[in-house]
Amino acid sequence: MQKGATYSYEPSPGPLWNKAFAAALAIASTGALAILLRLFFGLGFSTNLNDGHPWGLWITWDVLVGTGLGCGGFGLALLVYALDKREFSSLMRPAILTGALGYSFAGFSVILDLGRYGNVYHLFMPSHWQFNSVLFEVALCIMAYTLILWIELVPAMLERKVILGYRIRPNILERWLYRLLFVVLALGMLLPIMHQSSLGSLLIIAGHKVHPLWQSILFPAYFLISAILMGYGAVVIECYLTSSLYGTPFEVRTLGRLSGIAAWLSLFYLFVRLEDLTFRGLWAEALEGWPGMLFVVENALYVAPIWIVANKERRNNAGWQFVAAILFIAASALYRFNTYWFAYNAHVPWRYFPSFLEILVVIGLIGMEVVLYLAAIHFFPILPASRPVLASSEK
Amino acid sequence: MRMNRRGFLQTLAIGGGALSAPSFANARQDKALSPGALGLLYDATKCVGCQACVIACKEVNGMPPEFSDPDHLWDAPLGLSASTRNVIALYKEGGRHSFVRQSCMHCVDPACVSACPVKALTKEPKTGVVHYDAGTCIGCRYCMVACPFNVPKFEWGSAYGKIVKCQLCDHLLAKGEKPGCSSACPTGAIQFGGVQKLLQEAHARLKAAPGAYYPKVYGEKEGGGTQVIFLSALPFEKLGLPDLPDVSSATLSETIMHTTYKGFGMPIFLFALFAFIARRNLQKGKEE
Repeated sequence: MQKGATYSYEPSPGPLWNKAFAAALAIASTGALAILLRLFFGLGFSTNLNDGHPWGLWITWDVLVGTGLGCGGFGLALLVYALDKREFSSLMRPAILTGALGYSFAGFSVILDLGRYGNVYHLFMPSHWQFNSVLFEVALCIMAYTLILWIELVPAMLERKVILGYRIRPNILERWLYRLLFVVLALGMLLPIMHQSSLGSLLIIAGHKVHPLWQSILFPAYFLISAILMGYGAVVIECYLTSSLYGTPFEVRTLGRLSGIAAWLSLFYLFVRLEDLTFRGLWAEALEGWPGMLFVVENALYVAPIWIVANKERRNNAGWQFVAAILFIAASALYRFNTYWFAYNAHVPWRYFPSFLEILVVIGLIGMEVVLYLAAIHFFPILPASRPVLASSEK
Repeated sequence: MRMNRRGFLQTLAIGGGALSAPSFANARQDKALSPGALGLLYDATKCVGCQACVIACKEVNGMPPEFSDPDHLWDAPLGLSASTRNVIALYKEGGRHSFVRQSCMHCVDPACVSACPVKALTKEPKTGVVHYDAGTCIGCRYCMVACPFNVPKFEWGSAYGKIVKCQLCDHLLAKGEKPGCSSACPTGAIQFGGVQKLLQEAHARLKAAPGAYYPKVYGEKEGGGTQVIFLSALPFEKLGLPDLPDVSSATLSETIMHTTYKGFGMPIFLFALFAFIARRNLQKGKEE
C-alpha cells in the first residue's frame, strides 16, 4: 500500500440536465406540494400520527436512517484521520456531500414534524436550555455537525477557480481553513459520536413502552455502531453508482477492506447484543410473536453480510460488496425502525401506518437531495478523477 | 503508523476508563415529594361513573365537547385527548367491574419534564403541579413518548397544535379554589388535598376495610411516586395502570446523560485527542 497518494477530484462529466435530473426534479416538486399541505392544514390532516404513536415515518426515515446514511464521512474520518489509514481518503468527498445533504434534510424534516415550529428558536435561547433533555443535546449537536459537514466541503468549493463568472483566488479564508482544519476534523469525529449515541439514549426514558428485546442501557452503543455501519454501506453504494454512471474509479480492494471493517464491527455488535440478551435472560422472549420475528430478521440481516465478507473472493468482488453494503444498511435501518416504531408500544388502542402524504414528503425529500447532489457533483470537484494524478496503489 | 495507532488506542482506553469509572458514582438522585405537594386521591370503590368530573373539567378549562355517539348528542369522550383532560373509564371482568379515572398523575419525578428540550413542561417547586406552557413548546412530542401513563395529548386537528393535559386546575388553585373534578364529584371518589395527608387517608381506608381493597396505594411508589394516587378493589394493572418500577425512567435517562456529559469532560477529552491526532496526521501527510 502506497502512502500519501494525492487524489484529484473533478466535476462529473456530461450535462447537468438529463433524464435522471429531470425525474428527481419532478419528484422534488411533488414533495414540495405535499410539504405545503402539511404546513397549511397541520399534522392531523397530513399524517396518520396519533396519541399512541406521536413519532412516525418522518422521524424514523428522515432522521434515524437519513443521518445514519450520512455517517459515511464520519466513519471514514475515523479511519483516515484518527487511525491514519489514508487509502480511504479518496472516498471522503462524496461521503461528506451525502452527509451534508442527509443531515440538512433530516433537520428540515424535523422542522416539518414539529407541531409548533415557530418556537424552534427556543433551542438557541439559554433561558430555555434544558440540560436533562436528551433531545436537547441531540438537536444542538446535529445542528452543529451539519455546519461542520458544510465547512468540510468548502475546500472542494474553493478548488473550483471560477464560480458563475467570478474568479475565486486563494484568500485569507482558505489559509485559515487549512490552518484550522484539524479543529474542524476533530469536531467532525466528536459530534457524531455524541448525537448518534444519544439518538439511542432518547428512548431510555420511554421505559416499558419499548419492547424489552430493544429497551437497553446499551442503546447508545448500538446506535453508534449502526450509524457507522450505515455510513460505510452508503459509501460503497455511492462508489458503485457513480462509477457505473460516470466511470469514476472503483477501487475494489479499498472497498473490500472497508467491507471487512464493517463486518468486524457487525460481529462485535452481534456479540454485545446477544450477550446483553443473555444477561437479561430474554432468550425465551426473543423467539416469541411478532417482536420475536422482527428481532430474528434484524439480526439475520447482520449475519448475512458478515458471511458474504468472510470470504476473500466475495469480499473483493464489486457485486458482492454492493449486496453486503445493502444488507449492512438494511440491518441497521431495521434496528432503528424497530426501536422507534415497530417495537414501540404505548399500550393504547392506537396503531400507526404512515399516510400517503407522509410517504410523499419522504420521497419528495429524497428527490430534493438527489437534485442537489447531482448539481453539486456537476459544479464542484467532488468525485475522484477518472485518471488520478498519482495512480493509486491498487491495480 | 503502527505505533501511532497503538498509541491512539492506548490513550483512548486509559482516558476513557479514567473518566467513566468514577462517574457512575454520580448517579442522579431520585426526586422526593415536596412537603407542600398537592394532589388527588381517587377511590375507584366510591366512583359511580357519572362523568360529572369530566363535564366540570371541561367547563372550568374551556374545553370543547367530544362526541362518540353517531348523532353527536352527548359529550362522551372515550379516552384522554386534546379536548379531554380527565375521563372515567369502565373495566369489566366476569361479574365484577370497576371504574378508573385517567388524567395527569403529576409525577414526583416527571419523565415529561426531564424530556422536554425547552422547559415548556415544568414542575412547580411547592405544589408539584406539572405545568405546560404552549408559548414555549416547540411541538416535538417527546413528552408523549416519555410519559409512562400516555397523558400528554397533541392537538392533531390544528394546523399549529399544542399539547393538552391536566394541570390540576392551577388557575383555580391560585384563587384558593379546588380542581373542577374534585368539586364536582358527588360521591367523594376524587378527593383533593396535600399528598402527605391523602396518603395517610388512603392507608387509613385500607386498614379500615381490608377486604374491600386491593392491598396497595397506587402512586405511592410507582414510577418514583405520583401526586395523584389510587385505591381500587381490583388489581391496578387490570385498570390500565402500568406496573412500573419504583424509580422514574427519568432517573436512568439523566444518569446516563450527566455521566457522559458531566462538566463536559468526556467530550473535551475526546475532542482534544482527535484534534491532536488529526493535526499530527495532517502534518505527516504534508511532509510525505
